[in-house]
Amino acid sequence: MNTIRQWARQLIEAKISLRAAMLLAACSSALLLGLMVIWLGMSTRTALLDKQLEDLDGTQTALTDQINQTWTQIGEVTSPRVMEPRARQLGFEPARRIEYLIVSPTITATETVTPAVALTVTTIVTQ
Amino acid sequence: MGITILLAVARAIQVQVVESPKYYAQASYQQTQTRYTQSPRGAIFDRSGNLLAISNRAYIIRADARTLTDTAGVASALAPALGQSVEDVRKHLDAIVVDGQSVTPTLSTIVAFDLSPSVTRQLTETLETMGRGGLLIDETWGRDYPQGAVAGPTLGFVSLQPTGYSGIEGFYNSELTAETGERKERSRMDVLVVTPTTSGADVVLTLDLTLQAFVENRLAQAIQETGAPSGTVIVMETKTGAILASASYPSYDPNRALEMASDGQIGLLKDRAVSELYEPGSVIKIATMAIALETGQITTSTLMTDTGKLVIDGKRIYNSDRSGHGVVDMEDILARSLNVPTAMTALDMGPEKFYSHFRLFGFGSRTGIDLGDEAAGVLRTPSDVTWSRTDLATNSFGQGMSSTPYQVINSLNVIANDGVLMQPYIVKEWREPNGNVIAKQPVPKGRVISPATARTLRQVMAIATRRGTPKAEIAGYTVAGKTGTADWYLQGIKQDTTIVTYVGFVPAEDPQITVLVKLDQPSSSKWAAETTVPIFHDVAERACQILGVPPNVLK
Repeated sequence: MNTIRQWARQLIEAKISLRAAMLLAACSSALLLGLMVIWLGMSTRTALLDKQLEDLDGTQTALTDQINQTWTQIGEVTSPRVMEPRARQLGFEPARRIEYLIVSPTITATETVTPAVALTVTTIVTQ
Repeated sequence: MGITILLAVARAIQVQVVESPKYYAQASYQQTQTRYTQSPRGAIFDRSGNLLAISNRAYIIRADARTLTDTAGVASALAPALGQSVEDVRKHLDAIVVDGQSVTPTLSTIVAFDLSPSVTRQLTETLETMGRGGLLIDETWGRDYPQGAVAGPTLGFVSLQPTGYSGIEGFYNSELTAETGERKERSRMDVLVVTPTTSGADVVLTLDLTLQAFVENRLAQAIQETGAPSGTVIVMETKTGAILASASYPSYDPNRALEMASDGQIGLLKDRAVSELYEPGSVIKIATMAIALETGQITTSTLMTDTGKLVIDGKRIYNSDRSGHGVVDMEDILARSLNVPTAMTALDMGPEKFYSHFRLFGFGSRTGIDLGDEAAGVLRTPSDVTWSRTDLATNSFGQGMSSTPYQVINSLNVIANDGVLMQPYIVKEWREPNGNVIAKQPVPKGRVISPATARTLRQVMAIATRRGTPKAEIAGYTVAGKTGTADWYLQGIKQDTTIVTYVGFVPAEDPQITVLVKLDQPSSSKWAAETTVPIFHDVAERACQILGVPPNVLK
């Protein structure tokens, strides 16, 4: 506190020439102007970033919409009401009768091969 | 001069210091802009990842009664986009304009909703070219159901807000709903609040789309063949209570639900499988026999004399064929679906023993399935003033009580599931936008009967099925099932029509699938064996194929 008071007294008591005073004013103005330019620059940058952020939000929404539209299209083209007539058109149809065969258990002596399951069911589709 | 300066300073202090918060708030209110953003509602998938419901960009068009003047011009531009006649659209617009000029407008200003971006763009261009105004266009997320009417009532529907109603959309509304984002700012450089919007969670069902589509087609075919005006088919995974398919007729396409609601058809927008109560009839005999076996009241070889008629408190109970069958055992009772010996068994047990076990099957209370609008059913017990011994007799064969189809299948699934009552469920998991997956686990609600009793009963049911309803048999599999035929009542008066039900399990020894088929008032035949059993056969056979249930009878 004392230091500040001392410094202020020195400043008042000091006899500054007009030229020095003008120089001081010019420097102060330049400093102020510089600060204003920096502030404006930062503000502009903030505004631009904010706009970019908003645009990105919009893009994200648009992309979400596109993704959902694509999902919808996939859902529609793969739906049973579309797939079933198409499959029938190509000659496919659900099995009318399924016959099942028992495949005997296979036991192998080779150690590296895992023993097969006890019962395997194979389906044979007949039209 | 001094006084003037003093006054000015005082006023400045008042405005700048004392009243500062008030003016600050007013200025903030004027300068602050709040914008809300909305992400889409979560999607719904079947167990294999097939899409059942999703949200897409859509537009709502509202009429602004204050600025809409040329209704004829606007109607001519709107009509092609809406697929309506110019005259109809104009009448609608005129009504909104007239209503808007009244002190208390009552009509909705919405002219069209769920319009696609391309249609809206085209419409906007047309209106701009014509220089017509008076319409407001709101951007929103519409709901699309790419499978159309498949599983419609199970899925439910979504309003314009969007809020889910009925079915999955209603029950899982909070999970599916997106969180609204908020952006509050005084200027681009002075942003006060930014809350990002988050999409709703995606919901994965236990339903199998292929099986669901098959079941719906088979039910529709049966409706045509039998002349029944309505019906329900449910396929359940025996061990877990997971619902694999659930079809009801009449059904609805959720894409058209809002149109139906605005056309006064809101009553059709329900899932009959979960909300409709009916008298289940003789399928309940399985539960009565299970209780009798469990409590040691009878064994599979206990013999009873069926006289064909039973009088309780002056009320008569007959078998469905109105005749007596002499000495019968449990197999005969189930194969011939005899009311009199079943009622005798329940009466011998007594109300306390019967109802304490009967309640454990879940009758008279909700199953707790994760679907909206579930009804509880009605079951009178001795604690009710209106209960009588006749109720005990009729309840034993599924009359004088009401249940939903879900209740019936879930209760009788106890026999298939070695005596354990499950809580049925239709949502397998939901996936939150942050990547968290919340998977549901099967919930056993409690043991109702012992595994031994369940196995014994299944064996008896399998034999009774071979004797009584051989059409239910599936090549390669053993089947245990039971028919149920209940009289149809209209305003308390018995009609000449019936409600028919069939509940069956496949394979009988170690059931993997439980199926319920119910038809209301079939005209081709009033017996379940002739109407519901062929549907059960086809559905169960296809379900075994689709779900890869290995056969248990190999030649």
